[in-house]
This record gives sequence, C-alpha cells and structure tokens, in this order.
Amino acid sequence: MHSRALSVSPAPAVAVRATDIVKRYGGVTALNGVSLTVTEGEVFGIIGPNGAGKSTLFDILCGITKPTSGAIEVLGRDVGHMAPHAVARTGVARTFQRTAVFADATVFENLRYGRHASFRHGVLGRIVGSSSCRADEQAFQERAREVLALTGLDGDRDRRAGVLAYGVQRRLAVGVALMADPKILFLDEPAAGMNGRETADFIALIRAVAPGRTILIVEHDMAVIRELCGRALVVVDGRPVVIDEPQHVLRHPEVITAYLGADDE
Amino acid sequence: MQPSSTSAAVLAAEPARDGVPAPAMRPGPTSLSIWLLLGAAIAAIAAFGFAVSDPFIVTLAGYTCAFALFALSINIMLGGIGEVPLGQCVFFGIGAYGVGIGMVKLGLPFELSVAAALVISVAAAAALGALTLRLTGAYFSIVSWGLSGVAMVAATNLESLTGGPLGLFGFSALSVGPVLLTDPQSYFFVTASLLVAAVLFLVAVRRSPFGAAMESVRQNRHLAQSVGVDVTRVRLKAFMLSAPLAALGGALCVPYTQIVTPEVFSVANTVDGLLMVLLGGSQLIVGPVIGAVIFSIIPHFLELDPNVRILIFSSAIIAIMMFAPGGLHQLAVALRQRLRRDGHA
Amino acid sequence: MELLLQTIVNGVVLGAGYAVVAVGLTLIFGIVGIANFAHGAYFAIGAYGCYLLTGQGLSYFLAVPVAVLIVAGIGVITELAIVRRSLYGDAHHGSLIVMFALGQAIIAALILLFGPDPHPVPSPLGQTTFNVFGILVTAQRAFIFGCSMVVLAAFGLWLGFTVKGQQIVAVAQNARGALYSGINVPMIRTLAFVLGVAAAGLAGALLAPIVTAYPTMGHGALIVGFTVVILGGMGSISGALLGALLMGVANALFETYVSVSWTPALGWILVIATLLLWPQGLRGRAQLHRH
Repeated sequence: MHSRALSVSPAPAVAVRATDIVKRYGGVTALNGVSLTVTEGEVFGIIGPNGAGKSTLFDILCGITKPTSGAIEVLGRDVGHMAPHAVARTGVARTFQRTAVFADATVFENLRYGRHASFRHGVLGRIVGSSSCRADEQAFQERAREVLALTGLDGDRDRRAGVLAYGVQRRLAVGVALMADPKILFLDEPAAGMNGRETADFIALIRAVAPGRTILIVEHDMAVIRELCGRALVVVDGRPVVIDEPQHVLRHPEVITAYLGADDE
Repeated sequence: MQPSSTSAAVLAAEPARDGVPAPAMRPGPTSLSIWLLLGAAIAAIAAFGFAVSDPFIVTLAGYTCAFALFALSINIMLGGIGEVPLGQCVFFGIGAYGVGIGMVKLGLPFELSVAAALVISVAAAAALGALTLRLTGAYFSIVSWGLSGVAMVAATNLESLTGGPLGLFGFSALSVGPVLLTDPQSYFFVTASLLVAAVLFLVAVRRSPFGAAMESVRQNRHLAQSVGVDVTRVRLKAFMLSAPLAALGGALCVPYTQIVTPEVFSVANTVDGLLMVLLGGSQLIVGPVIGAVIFSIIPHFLELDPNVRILIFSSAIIAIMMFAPGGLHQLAVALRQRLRRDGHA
Repeated sequence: MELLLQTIVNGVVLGAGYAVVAVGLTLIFGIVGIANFAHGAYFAIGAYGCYLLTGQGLSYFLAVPVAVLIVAGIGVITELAIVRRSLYGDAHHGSLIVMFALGQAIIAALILLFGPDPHPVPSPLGQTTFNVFGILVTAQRAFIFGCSMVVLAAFGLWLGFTVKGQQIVAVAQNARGALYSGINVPMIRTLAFVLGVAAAGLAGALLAPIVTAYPTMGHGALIVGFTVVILGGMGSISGALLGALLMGVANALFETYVSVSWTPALGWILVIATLLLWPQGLRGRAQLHRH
C-alpha cells in the first residue's frame, strides 16, 4: 500500500525520520534533541564516543526502546508506539552487537528463524502439507541459498552458530537479517572486535547487499564509516554535533576533541 | 487422533525436489526414521500389552504413560521456550480435579469430565499466562510455583467442591466409550496411544514455523523479536499448548490413583516431571518419555521409599545439570563422539 | 484493641526473623547472581541443628551459634562442590533447577534422618513472659527480635566499614570491574553464599522454639524471603527489614482476623501481586534473569 505512495513521490523518499528525540533514564538524559532524516538507498553512519548515546539512539530508531519524547517515522509509518516485532515486520531488520546469532542452532536453522515473518502456514498446514506450507518452504530454500552465497557461508551450513569464528558469526548475523529481504538494515557496531581481514570482508559484504536498501550503521571503527557511509551523524553526550560526509565529519573540531578525550581513558 | 494417519501427513509435508535430497525441515530425525520409530513404538506397546500378564505392572505402565504426558507438557515450557514451570502441576491438578469433580460431584461421564478439564486448563493458561508470562527466568518460576501453592490451599479449603483434605474418591465407571479403564490392559493401551499421538503432534509442532519461533525465542529472545517474532504471543501460545497436555496427564492418572487429593497440586509432581525431562533430555521430543520410563522402572524394582527416591533423583538432577545439561541423550552423544575420535586416533 | 496490638507485636517478631532470611537471600542474589531456591532448606537445617544440639544437653544459647556454624559449613561444601562449579554467569535456567533440586534433596534427607513430624525445640526462655502495657511478649520472642536486630545492624556496619564488606558491595555493583581492580571475586562469591545461607540457618535456629522443627518449615520463610527481596529491592538491608516486618505483620493480622486455613496462601498471593505490580522491584534494581 505504502509502496504506491512512495513511487509517485518525485523527491527521494524518506526511509527514517527522527524528530527531536529525547530519552531520559530516571534523572539521566541519554539523548537530548536528536533529529535526522535518512533517505531511501542511503548508507548512513552514527558515530560517537562510548556512552554518547548512539546505541540508545539506534535502539529507538529500530523500535526496541521507546523515546521519552519525539517522533520516529520509518518508511512513512509512525513507529513510536509500535511493538518491536511489529516494527520488524514493516521491513526493518537489525543486527546486535553481542548476542548476534542463535548460538545453539546451525547456520541453516538461523536462516530459518530469520525468515519467520514470511511464513504463512501454521501447525495444521504443516501436518497436512498444505500448499502454503510447500510455497513457504520453497521460497525459504531459495532465499537461504541466495543468502548463503552472498555471505559466503555455504560451507558452514550445518555447523552450530556458536562455534563459528567471530567474523563468521557477524556475517551470519547479517544473513539472518537479510532473510526477510528488509528495506532497511540496522547494523550495531558490526566490525567491533574484528581483525583487519574480517573487517575488509565485512565491508565487501555490506557493499554487496546495499543496492536497493537503506543501511544505518553505528560504528566505532572510522575505517568502516569512511568506506561505507555517504553521510554520518556524530553524537556526543546525547546531543547531535554534526551530520555530514564522513571526511568532513572526522575533521570537525568537536569530534576530534571528543575522540581524543575518549582515548585518554 | 489416529497415530498412523498423523504420521503419514508429517511425511507428506516433507519437500523433495529435483531428485536432490531436500534438507530436513527441522533438526532431528528424518521422516523415514520417524516412521520406523513409530512402527517400533506401536510394536513395543502391543507386545508389552499382550505379553505381560502381571496386572500391576501393566497398570503401572499405563500410569507411566499418563505421567509422561505431563512431562511432555513441562518440556514444552522448558525445552520449548526455556522457562522452568514449577507450577505446571496446576494444570495437572485441573485435569485430576476435572475428573474428580465432574464424576463424583456432577455425575458426568469420564470422557465429558476430561473434555471439560482440557477446556478449563486452556482457559486458565490463557488467563494466568497473560499475567505471568511478562516475567522471565526465576521471576516466572517463583510466580508459577506460587500459583500451585495457592491452588493447593484452595483445594484444601473449598470442601464443598473438592472434598477438602480427604479429596474425592469412589469413581463409578472410569471408561472411554466401551473401554473400561479399570482393566489394566485397556488402561495401558488408551494412555499409550494418547502418548504416541501427543508425541507425533509435538513433532509436527516442532517442524512448523511456530516450533521454529519457539526455538528462536528460547535461544535469543531479542534477536527473535528483531526478525518479527511476537515473543509475548509465542510464549503464551506455548503455555496454552502445554496446559491441556498436563491436564490430560492428570486426568489419566485418576484411574490409577482412584482418588484426587490436594496433593495433585504439590510441586513434588512438577519435580518428578522435570526430572523425567532432564533425564531424557529437554531438546529431544521423546526425551521426557524416555525419562518417564526410567523414572518409573527404577523405583519399582528397587522398592524405594518416596523420600529416598526424591533424594536420589534430586541429586541426579544436580549431577545432570552439572555434567550433561542436555540429559542422558547428550551424554550418549558425547560418548559416541569420544569413541569415534578415539577410533580415528 | 489488645488483640490487635498483640497480633502486631507477634507479627513484628516473626518479621524480624524473616528479615534475616531475606537479607541472606538478597546477598546471594546480588553477589552470586542466582535465586537461591534452596534457601528454605538451610533455614530448616538451622532449626534441626538446634534440635539436635539441645537434645545432646547443650544450652540453647550455645546451640544457636553452633547450629549456624553447621549451616555455614554445609554452605561452604555446597558452594564449592555445586554452586561454584556449575552456576556462575549462568544465564539460562540451570541455576534455578539445580538450587531447587538441592533444596528438595536436603528436605528429603531431613525427613529420612528425623522423620516427617515436627520436633519441639526447648528454649530456656520459653515460659518467661513480659507484660508490656497489657501485651504479652515471651522472652523467646524478645530474644528473636533482639538477635535479629543485632545481627542485621552488625552486618550493615560490616558491609559499610570493612575491607571485605566493601569488596562485597563492589562485586554486587560491578563484578567485572571488581575483578579488574584485583578483588578475588570467586572468594567473595563463596563468602557471600556462605553468609547468606548462614543467615537463613540463624533465622531457623531462632524461630525453632516457636514454630518447632519440621522438614518443610523453610517453605514459608523462602516465600516471604522472595517477596521481601523483590519488594524491598536488591542489596538493601533497610528495605529487606521494612519489607519483612510488613510481611510478618500482614501474616499475623490475616491469621487472626481473616482465616487460619487460608494463611498459607497469603504469602504466595503477595509474591504474585508483588511480581506482577513491580516486576523490577520497588527500587527497580532486581536483576534475576541476566540475558
């Protein structure tokens, strides 16, 4: 329904719009008046020192945390009061920083869990082998093959996710997110803890999945932001400092101070 | 409800295209091995039922099957969504009291009493689940335990309905249609076939998207939510699925016990069921059944005092959780792997 | 009026005993990170220890500390053999099942050793009563109240003003940070567990002359302990004390004015109501389930 509305609009459609987001935990203000607009097809970065509130902002944008005040619109819908799983079903997927995969399940099972929102048949359909059950299964198998090829996980199909190397787990996390073919992909510090080789592989993977999608990345690793993002937002102490192209952002005096300060710890 | 037709349907749903062996829908046994296991189970049930003549042992086997239904119910919560439902005995008790009140107080036939108990158990699970499943982990377990405590006090005090501490007894015709449940052989065949049907149904559930959703919630609820799983709903559905199984188990225990007392709400029942689950392995669908068989056979042949039994089995739970959290099944798998590795070396 | 005051006084005494149980539970929650479902069993061991020692002719006043030491010894053994080896950092249901099973095993062992029936525990204070403005207080109840207050105060001071106490506080607030700053976290956890169950044992030993010693006597204490911990918030001694006193009084009032036969359900109903109304505790800090 909303795709028709998007296609008649001549200007680039808005994927994510946040207006004046404020988040308080008790007496602590984690975010203070953050606004941003990400257009469809953009790769957008969010950076800032530890504890600056970028993870809070990220959780608010993808609907997991509710803001104290302010509005969030994702793909033209107000998600401020939607349940997290309902936001996910509007075409939004995300990866997590720590618990990124279903650790007890195989790679292939992980992909099946990622496909959840697309399955239409129930227990009864499964018992009688209904046509929707077969169609679901076929669509899943096809999508899983594509995603396995894309993420380079073909050889690890039947391995338990928990035993995979860290960089491989991160690729699987993206694979799980891609199973629903999301329009918007949120990546929470995807390169944290990766070595140089793994980071390069990861950047290549994101480049490959970016066409046709909007991607938001929270990241500490400046190389990732520089390589991937068209624009980036800097958050320091819960307030927005600047939104610009990465090379400009990184030269901003307040960014330099904030990062140097953070490095002193 | 006929086991074989359910299994045929499970088989038919398996996709196989282009002559390439399709990957199994879900981890675990393929459909062929399910057929074989089903055949073996039916053969074993028939052989046992016809060959064993000692009525006491046959009745005990029937009771074991009934209690295994309760263990399956516990495992929907434990192995399914990763909660420890200490108060699952509430639904077990609803099944037993459903039969007791239905037959002794209201004069209903057994089948109708059981049906009513199942409906009530689902309704109770919906109401209790809506309230308590917001809680997770130890919080959920404490509240769940608490509910069983309240149920037990209520059953003791509401004498006009429950017969008070003495309970309800004096059942007239415990029968399903023309089949008398007071006959050991019939009792065993009825409970055993219901158990087989329940296992097959749970296999189908596990292979369905709902089963995958439960598993994803158990392993990582936040990630599950982010791929569109309505975690609250899945947990509630699992709870509502587990309740009638427990109630059925409780109802089918009545022909064996011949009395329903407030003790059916005792957490000791849950502990027994939990132990069966942990013995057999919570990630194996038939794990609770295997556990139930071990659990019933050993005390019978050793003629254990109930408290010695609790002491031994509680210690066994601790040992299992410390050394083989996946149950004896996991222990067997680990042993096989070690043997294979030694073979290669 | 006299009955009301008498009931409240009895409730306060009971609550003081509960507070000691709850503080132990809170300590184990906060430091070891598990819900100690076996807490009630240690409570019972304390009472049975008293029963056994007084039976051997030991004075009740000596029997209480010795019983507490026995509970602490059993606590050390279970911590080293079971808790330490399997449960730290356990985010799943393992710790819950293990502690629950441990509690069941201990209770079954008590039944096998002493039988299922209650055993009276004699106290030299049993027959003496004070009459304070028309309210009767037995010396035993006054002793329970006094001991509980002294122990709680001493524990609070110990936490606040000693090195070990401060280390416990540090581990409760940030275990990893504490580890990095050189605190022996496993040792602190053992200490916290042992102190926690010893508190339960003390409460059991103190209350035994009033309630007698019986195997499942810890159930009630455990339920109340959970309510108090959940209500009063984690790691708060004053919160635990206040919550326990309220619970004790509520129990006594309900028993006197509403129904004796429904009283066992009151604790459960309060636990359920507390968890449903304040799932994170009144102070919003209780973190039972760490994912």
